[in-house]
Amino acid sequence: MDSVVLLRPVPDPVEELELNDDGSDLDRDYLGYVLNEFDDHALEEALLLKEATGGTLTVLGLGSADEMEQILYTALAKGADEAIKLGDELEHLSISSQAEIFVSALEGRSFDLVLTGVQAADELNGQLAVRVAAKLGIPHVSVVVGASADNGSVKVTKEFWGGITADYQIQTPAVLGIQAARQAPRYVAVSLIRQAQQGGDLSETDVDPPPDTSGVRVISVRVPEAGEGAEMIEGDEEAAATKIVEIIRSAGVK
Amino acid sequence: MFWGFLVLTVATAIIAIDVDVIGLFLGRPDLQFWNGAFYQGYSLIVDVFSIGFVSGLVYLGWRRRNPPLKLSYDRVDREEGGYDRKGYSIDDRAFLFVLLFIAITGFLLEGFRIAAVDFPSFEIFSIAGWTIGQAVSFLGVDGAETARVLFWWTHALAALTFIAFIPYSKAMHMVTDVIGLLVTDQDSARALPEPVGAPSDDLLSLFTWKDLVDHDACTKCGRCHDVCPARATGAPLSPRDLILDLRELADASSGIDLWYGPGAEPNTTTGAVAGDYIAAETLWACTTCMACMEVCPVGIEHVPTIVQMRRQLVEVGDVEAGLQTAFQSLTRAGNSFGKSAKQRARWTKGLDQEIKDARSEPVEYLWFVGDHASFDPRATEVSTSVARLLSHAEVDFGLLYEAEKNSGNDVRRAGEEGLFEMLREQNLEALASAEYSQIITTDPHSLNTLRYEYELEGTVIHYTELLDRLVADGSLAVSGLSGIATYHDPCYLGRYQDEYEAPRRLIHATGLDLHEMGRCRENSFCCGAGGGRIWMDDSGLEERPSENRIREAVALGDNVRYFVVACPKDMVMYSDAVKTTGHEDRLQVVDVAQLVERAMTGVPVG
Repeated sequence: MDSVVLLRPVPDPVEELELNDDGSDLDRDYLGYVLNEFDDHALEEALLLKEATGGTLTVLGLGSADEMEQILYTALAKGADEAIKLGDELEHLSISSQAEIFVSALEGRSFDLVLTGVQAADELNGQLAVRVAAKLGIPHVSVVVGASADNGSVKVTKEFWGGITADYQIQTPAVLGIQAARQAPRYVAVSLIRQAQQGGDLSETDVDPPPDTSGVRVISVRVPEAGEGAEMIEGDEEAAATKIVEIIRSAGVK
Repeated sequence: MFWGFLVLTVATAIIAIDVDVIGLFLGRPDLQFWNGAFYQGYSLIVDVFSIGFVSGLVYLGWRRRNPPLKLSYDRVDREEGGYDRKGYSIDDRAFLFVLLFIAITGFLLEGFRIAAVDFPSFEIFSIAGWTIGQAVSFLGVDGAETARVLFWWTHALAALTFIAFIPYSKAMHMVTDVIGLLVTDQDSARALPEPVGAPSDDLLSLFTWKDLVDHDACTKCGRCHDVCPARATGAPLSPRDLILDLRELADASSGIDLWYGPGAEPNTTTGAVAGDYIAAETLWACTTCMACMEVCPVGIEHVPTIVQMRRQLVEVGDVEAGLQTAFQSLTRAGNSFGKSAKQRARWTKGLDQEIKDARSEPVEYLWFVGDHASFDPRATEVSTSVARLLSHAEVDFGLLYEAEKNSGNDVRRAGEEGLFEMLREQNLEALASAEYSQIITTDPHSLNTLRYEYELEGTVIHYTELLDRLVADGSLAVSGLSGIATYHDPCYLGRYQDEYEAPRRLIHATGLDLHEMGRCRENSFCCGAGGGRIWMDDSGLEERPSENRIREAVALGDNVRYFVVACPKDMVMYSDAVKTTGHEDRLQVVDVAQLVERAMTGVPVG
């Protein structure tokens, strides 16, 4: 089973997120990036499939940030066969443009499955997998929590509200939006990442950012306003209960 | 045992040389020296040693009737049954019995010989032989002579049997220990050796010949089993069992067929040595506290052996969940707290004066603060105390601010060698950008790694050493505290760095009385945080090592009010443990620096 995994970096929440001067975006000059957590799960699921069925695993990384190289070398160290960096500035790309770039990189390539994270910290609509599948004209399932190869087709498990799950059989080639891999993304030793780095098996494809056809534009971005500090209620059960009732009453509940 | 055995072997050998080689083969009885006062003195000494030897053997045999914990071969890392080590206890007893048999026949032989020559007066110095001779004098001279010949052969055959038995038994330690002790490196836990080999199911490729000699040297004395904090708190690790497992595997993979006791099977788990044959949980349980190496009489290096196998686990990605999170944070941000590097010096904000940035101006002391002392609120309180004390004493010091990364001590001991190297490179680069004459650390774990694994030119000291100097030279005037304290020696300050006195002198200087716990100084009991354990889940333990330790302190008596620490990780572990054991009201966990500050400013303690 040949798979391709689409990887996107997202702003690293470890750093304090600040807005740029005109308030239209994060201030990306001082931002660090990490791999989108859901994409990490997509990679893990693809590695599990490769271990079970053989085949090749290719990772496509979008964006030219320094961190992207690290992310791709990590994927190689984990067991990916090929890593391609699709160089561009990520922040100026709408989700439709992102899908466009991935699709152009996928065209002419033979694969059974494309896996990517069901959503990203900065893309909660869950559009990437859907759009890539639509543009390629192939089947798609999202919110996938496990996949297995089944005689030329693929069986996937999708999660619904309330923990209900359903199994689907899907014709390949297909696109999967991964919610969670069957197991937590594996750890890869730094020494192996360094080895991959020294191997330097990273290819780069320059892409021209396609025109933005999304019809959606950011007007302004705001950070949440800090609320007032929590009030700690002191004293024994009796005193605490009285105090809680007082607060509820004062809020207008009779 | 050892000396008794040695003296008797030498004594017998000398008689053989004297009588048989010089007297018979060379035919020069005039050169025999086994006579006169020399003989008498020698007889006395040999007999005294023999009596000691026999008494020792009888005592050891008696002790095994109801063996103490360290002599029990019950496994802590797997279910009993099928695989056990009853063969070992049988071997232990057989070893004692054979030695006792040889010693007793030796005594009888001596007695019969003295009786057979009708008690010449000079033989009175062979006190044991004389007594036995008297007891058997009813046999008469001829009868005693017959018995002597009989026992001479019995004694000689028993001794030869014993020699043949050596390679198959515990007695082999007489040979392996000598080699083990000759090649032992007691610094190998301080400066860990480089990794050997890739993950494999072939034991022999995972270890150096030196490690293998180590495994063969184990005498099964069980001291490490006794002192191990992991074993003591219900973790599936016993250093002794681990070493014996590796020895058994080495023997088995070299085609040596061992006997494990009636009905007992060896560990037949196949697969990777680290992770399958030795379970991952067993390897992750080690706190690298080095108590095992401290008590080992034959110089076995358990900690490097365990780290070597942890490296194999990391390489195949078999990493404990909490550890994995820590490694990822460390890779991303250089600290295990998952905080931005820019927040590293945030704890300094509450100070009256800003601490120098050693990267932009020269300082005398460069303070390498460490992760916990920078990010954990319980430990940053101590860091602010240290900062105020140093400022008060007008010490010229500075920080590396966001350029400081985790020193990598715990990372390396958790088996992530590549990450350790990365952190070391980053720190060395930062240190190279600063101008300083000495480094001080808060964390003893960082102290160890900066001292032993960074190959720095300047000296690296612990903050307690610097505070001790400042109190001694009068830069810090302290006194006036009263009450009773006990002090916990951090493993990485005590056993690892041999620093026991500076913190104690500081405690005394504050005016507090120090009551020692039973397990103190080089026998200190680990808090359970070392070797990466602080990042791992310890919910599976019967009791956390830190709780065990707090109970020990509480048992010292009601009047002990302060549990004094000198390590940020201890502050974190014991602040928790006094709460979880319900002793928060009785025992206050306090750092040496906090005590010094209180004694200086005259604020009453607690």
